[in-house]
Amino acid sequence: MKHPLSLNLNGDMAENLVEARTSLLTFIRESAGLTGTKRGCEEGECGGCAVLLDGRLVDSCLILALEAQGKTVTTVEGLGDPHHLSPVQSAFAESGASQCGFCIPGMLLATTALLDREPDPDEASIREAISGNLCRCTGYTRIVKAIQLAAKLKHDGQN
Amino acid sequence: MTYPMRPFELHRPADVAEAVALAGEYPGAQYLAGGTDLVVNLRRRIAEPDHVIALGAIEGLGEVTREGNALAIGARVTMAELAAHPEVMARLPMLAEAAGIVAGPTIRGMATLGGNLVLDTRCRYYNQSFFWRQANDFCLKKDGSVCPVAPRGSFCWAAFSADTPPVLLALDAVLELTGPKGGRKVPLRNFYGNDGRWSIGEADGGLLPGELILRVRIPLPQAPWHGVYEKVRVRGSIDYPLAGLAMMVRWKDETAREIAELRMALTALNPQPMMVPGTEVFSGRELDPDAVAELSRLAGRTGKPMRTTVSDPAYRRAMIATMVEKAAARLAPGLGPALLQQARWA
Repeated sequence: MKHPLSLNLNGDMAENLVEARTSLLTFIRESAGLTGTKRGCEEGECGGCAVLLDGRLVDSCLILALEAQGKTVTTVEGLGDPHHLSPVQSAFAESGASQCGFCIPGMLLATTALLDREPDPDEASIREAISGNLCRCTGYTRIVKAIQLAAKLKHDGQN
Repeated sequence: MTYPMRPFELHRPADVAEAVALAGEYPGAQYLAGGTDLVVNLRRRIAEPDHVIALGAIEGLGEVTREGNALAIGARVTMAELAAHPEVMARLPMLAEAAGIVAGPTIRGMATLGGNLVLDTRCRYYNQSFFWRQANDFCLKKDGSVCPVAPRGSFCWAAFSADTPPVLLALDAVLELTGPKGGRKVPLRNFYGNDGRWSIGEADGGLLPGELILRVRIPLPQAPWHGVYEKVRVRGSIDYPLAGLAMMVRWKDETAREIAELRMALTALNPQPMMVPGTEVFSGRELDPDAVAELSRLAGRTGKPMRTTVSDPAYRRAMIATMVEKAAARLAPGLGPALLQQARWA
């Protein structure tokens, strides 16, 4: 049996009929067609499916889509587009932080959530903030550098 | 290989009364709060309810309130909220510490205190996909008849692996529950069952059918006291504990390290979180290296690691003494260097 679901996805209304067992991740990828959010472990280990749900960083594979009824979801597609990157995306591109790229959407959202609550994080806070996101290329050094640059870019952009 | 979850009906009650009524109407229904444990188990077909009662639309149960000489914490409070709550950090820092090192940041933002208290027990033969478990002829806890950890027994050794319960045991917390047959208050020390299947209602511990945790009431210990939580895991984030220890001490004389009362509780080593019995005799003693060695032996008699994780049980057993030493060194000023001098490996 399917139920109607509507939520705010990156500023647009996304609607469809979904089964109770459908995860938010499946809804984002297969109903809304936004494949930036990655299907990784599906058990909350890897952070590849991380999105912002009402501004909070969550693993979308662990949320039933119907539980997001009426809420606001931000995926990597909602941060910026190829012509207008968000400061966080620019910083990752400039720093060469992306290797295979699979973990990067989750990293970008973890970074966005971090800088929203802590605009000037130290390295320990940065490492803590991305400790739920696994990079199997193990390219953490450049990711941390990118987050430091992102904080600076965001800061400069506001001045 | 991932199979889709078995289909179920999802209910989204507006308040606790409606949630409990639904649970009474549909026996075997499962409550869903943060989802970090249940959704994984649904996907693995470890949990196969026909009805899921999601608590996300219910207001309340998310407060931390001071009630006389106790702190009452709503079951919906997340691990991240608990770890950063000023009142919890100030009054019960060991609880904030344990909540702050549960899994990783994404999980902590979702996982609730109520869910942490009734986290399903875990085992390398149980927390696997349906495909994996089927290839292994399943196990005693789910779909099978033999426990691969102890094949000749009829006991389930799946380890209870949540981080906040040992802290709450040491602090003597009381659970406020409600259910189809009314409310009750249960001291946490009487809550858990001995068999790894307690949490699915086949043994005598845990929640009665349809019961829901509303709040956790924690009496504030008499000052001066300190408590810490030590956790051993493979990685510094994400992982469940291989072993965990909560230790709290009330001082008779803090500078002389003279103990008024000392309590220890273990997690991830048994099918339930365990108070370590026998620590009363340390009242009036100094927390010195000899006392630490005795406490390590006591804790070692309580923790019974089995082959439920990929890590060797002998390693987890050895870590019990290490955790006791680390916890004691953090609690007692100046004890660390004395312990190092007498270190077992020196």
